[in-house]
Amino acid sequence: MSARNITIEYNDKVVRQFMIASIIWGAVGMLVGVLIALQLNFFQLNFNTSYLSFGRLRPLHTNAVVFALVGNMMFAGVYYSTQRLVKARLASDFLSALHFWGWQAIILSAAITFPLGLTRGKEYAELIWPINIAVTVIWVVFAVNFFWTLARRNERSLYVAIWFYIATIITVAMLYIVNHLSIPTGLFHSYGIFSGVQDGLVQWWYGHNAVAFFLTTPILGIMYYFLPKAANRPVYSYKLSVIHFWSLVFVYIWAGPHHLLNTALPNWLQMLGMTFSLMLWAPSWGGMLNGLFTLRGAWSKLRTDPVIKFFAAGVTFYGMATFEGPLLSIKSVSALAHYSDWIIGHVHAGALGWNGFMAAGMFYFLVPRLWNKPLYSKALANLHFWLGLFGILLYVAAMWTSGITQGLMLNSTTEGGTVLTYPNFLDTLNTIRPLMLLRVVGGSLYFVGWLLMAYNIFKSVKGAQAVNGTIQVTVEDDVPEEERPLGAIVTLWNPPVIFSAVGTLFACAWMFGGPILQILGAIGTALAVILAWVHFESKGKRWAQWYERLLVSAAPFTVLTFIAVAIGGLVQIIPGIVTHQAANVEARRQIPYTPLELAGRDIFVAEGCYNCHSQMIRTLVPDVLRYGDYSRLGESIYDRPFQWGSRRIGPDLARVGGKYSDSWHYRHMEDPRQISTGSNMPSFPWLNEKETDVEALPSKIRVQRMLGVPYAPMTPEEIQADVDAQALTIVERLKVDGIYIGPDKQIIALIAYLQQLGNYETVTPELANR
Amino acid sequence: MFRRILIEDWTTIFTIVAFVTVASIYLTMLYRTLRLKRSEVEHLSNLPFSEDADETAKPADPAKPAKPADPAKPAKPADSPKPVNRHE
Repeated sequence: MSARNITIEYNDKVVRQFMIASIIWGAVGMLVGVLIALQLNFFQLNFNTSYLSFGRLRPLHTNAVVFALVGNMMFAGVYYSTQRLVKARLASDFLSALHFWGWQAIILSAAITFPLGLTRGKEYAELIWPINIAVTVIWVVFAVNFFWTLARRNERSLYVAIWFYIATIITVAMLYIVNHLSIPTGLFHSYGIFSGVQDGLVQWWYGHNAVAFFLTTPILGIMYYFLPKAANRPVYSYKLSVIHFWSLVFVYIWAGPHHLLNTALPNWLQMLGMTFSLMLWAPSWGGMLNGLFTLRGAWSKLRTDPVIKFFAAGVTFYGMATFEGPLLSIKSVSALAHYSDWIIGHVHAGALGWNGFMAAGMFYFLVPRLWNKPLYSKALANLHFWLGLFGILLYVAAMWTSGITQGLMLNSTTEGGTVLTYPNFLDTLNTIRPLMLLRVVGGSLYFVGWLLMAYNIFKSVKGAQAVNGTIQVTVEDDVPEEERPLGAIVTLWNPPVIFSAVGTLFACAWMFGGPILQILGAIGTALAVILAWVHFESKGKRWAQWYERLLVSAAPFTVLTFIAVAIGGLVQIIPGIVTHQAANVEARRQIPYTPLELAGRDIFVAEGCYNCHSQMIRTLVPDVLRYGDYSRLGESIYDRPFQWGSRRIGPDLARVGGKYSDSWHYRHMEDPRQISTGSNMPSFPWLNEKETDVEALPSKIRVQRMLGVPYAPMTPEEIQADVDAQALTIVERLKVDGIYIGPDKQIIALIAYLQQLGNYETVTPELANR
Repeated sequence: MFRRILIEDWTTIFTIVAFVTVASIYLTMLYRTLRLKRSEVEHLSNLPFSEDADETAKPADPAKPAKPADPAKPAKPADSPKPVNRHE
């Protein structure tokens, strides 16, 4: 066997770039977070301007901390660790640079478009369609750069961290593309292809797995590399890390429906989400314990090394958040917690504790190695840790208390469960105000800690010379058969896969076939199982060889991981697409919006009203007592995007139509304090000045018709006439109450939309056949 | 049972299919992982350390050397710089 020595210089420049970007954007994201938290206590901090209103800034905060802070940190960690684990430089300097600058351009575009009210109105998927395309392109760049590096690797074995990165890349691509499938209506606006309950399901299939495969799996990969490095000990149990990986990949994908418990989502989907979320307890805690036990024999470093402090605390918060998550996924717990601040507490325990602390630990680990200079001040790093930890605990404790208070008060009934104890929503808001302020204190402390880290790292690298790691490797030209990666054919043409596929086909025939197929299917399934067992017993070595080679084969591994995550998506989403159409709903069906109401709805979405207001009355007695009859699946079947919501900072609006007069809504939007003393809702005075974009309506209605909403064909002139007629009706009603406003103003469109909410048509056999 | 699932409450099948699919593949992977050879486990878990003995630091931009410390500002004893030991 011939061998040669080569020198590899790692591309650590892109690692440094991503690290610095994460620190800067993290500070921006946290600053916006502190501001919006303050706005909930002091509405004046919305400054009466559209660009800084809570509804527009909240998506900026979430996107900045998820995609800018964690995203950049993830890329830094992935690129640093992958190069060293596979002993190869990143495949392409050009793709690395394109990845970095492209990602920063996307973040910058988010920072510009969100305050302008340009949004898709779906959580963590708010970016408008041109930017979605950019995200997809840059993600493909990342994928190519990563997999190309794997193809050129000089270490045959794939460490478990690489597995986590592979799962991240392909699953995020699948989730992002499916949830962002849209038809544009113009340069800055589009409608998603899914609507109503389907949109809700797809959104939370995406949303929860954005948590799983963007905020968890890549950071776990980073944990499995950097924690052993920092502790100078191998991972406690490599076998456990592999089981951890496969458990997460198979189970996480199914957990999305736990965001929609007790709603109009079909019950089988709710039970699916709850069951699989509970199953997640095991692998998540397996991973946490694996990480903490890796520190066995190195606990003394906890006192002296800030890196170990951050990693140990980060892994502990991972365990805490992944205990709390399944707990919240239990239907009865969700009845209390859904829409409340408890969810916010849960999110921030994970985001600040797991993501933020792992980021800090990784940065403190990397700085001396990337600049060949010790950290400027260990004392500052330790101070950062304690400030951050105290900030998280204050934040989370405040939100737990606030959330449980909200849940208990809003769900509380008296008189034998027939009357609400606290019928006025504002009673609950006023009770939790001190806790919301405590959250600001906690978040601010965490933010100050982050700034200390930025200063510390700035002082460390100032005047230092950046360095790249280099290594000598011996490359063998002849690779033994058992270490050669699997080819495309062998990946699928092998005993385990063949027997599984054949068995599955026969099982489907047994389940779904007619009388003869059922018999054949039952016999075939039994035969497949028996033959598989016999083959395994006699030729088990071939099964083992296939699996051993799978461990060193990046491409086949990737394909099989993709199949694993895709199964979950297909089983959840396809039945909804096939069955939960408007033609199939029973009892009630949504009446399509008039053109003016559609315009008003798009204003509702652009202003981010869904960030505070839900439109889903749950199948719970307190919800029904407070808001009216529970929401049926058909009542929002055409909504794009769905507006079921995930917060109730303000009351639910599903049946607000007709509850208040037009002038009530006018005054409420102009200044909510005119109507509700003590309300923390921002004022929206600009809606009285800005004009409704009627010119965009023909394109919007055309796209809605394309997507199956039963609009009659309308010319632009007919649309304008319809808009004018309805607007004038509202204007006349406002005049009666002494309000004078032009019919072309946005407030008129918004009032039209709000007054429609809760209207539906009863489905008759004739209607169902239309 | 199949009549009830297939005709009256047919969507239940999806939950069953999902669980069986997940469980069977997961159990297979679990079995294979538990049967991993000790030598293989040792090798894989030490992969993060395999380059430690060999990795060195090369200046990213040799034309831009590090700035020397300011002679007017004596270094604080607690923070005095020490060479980075890649084997720690």
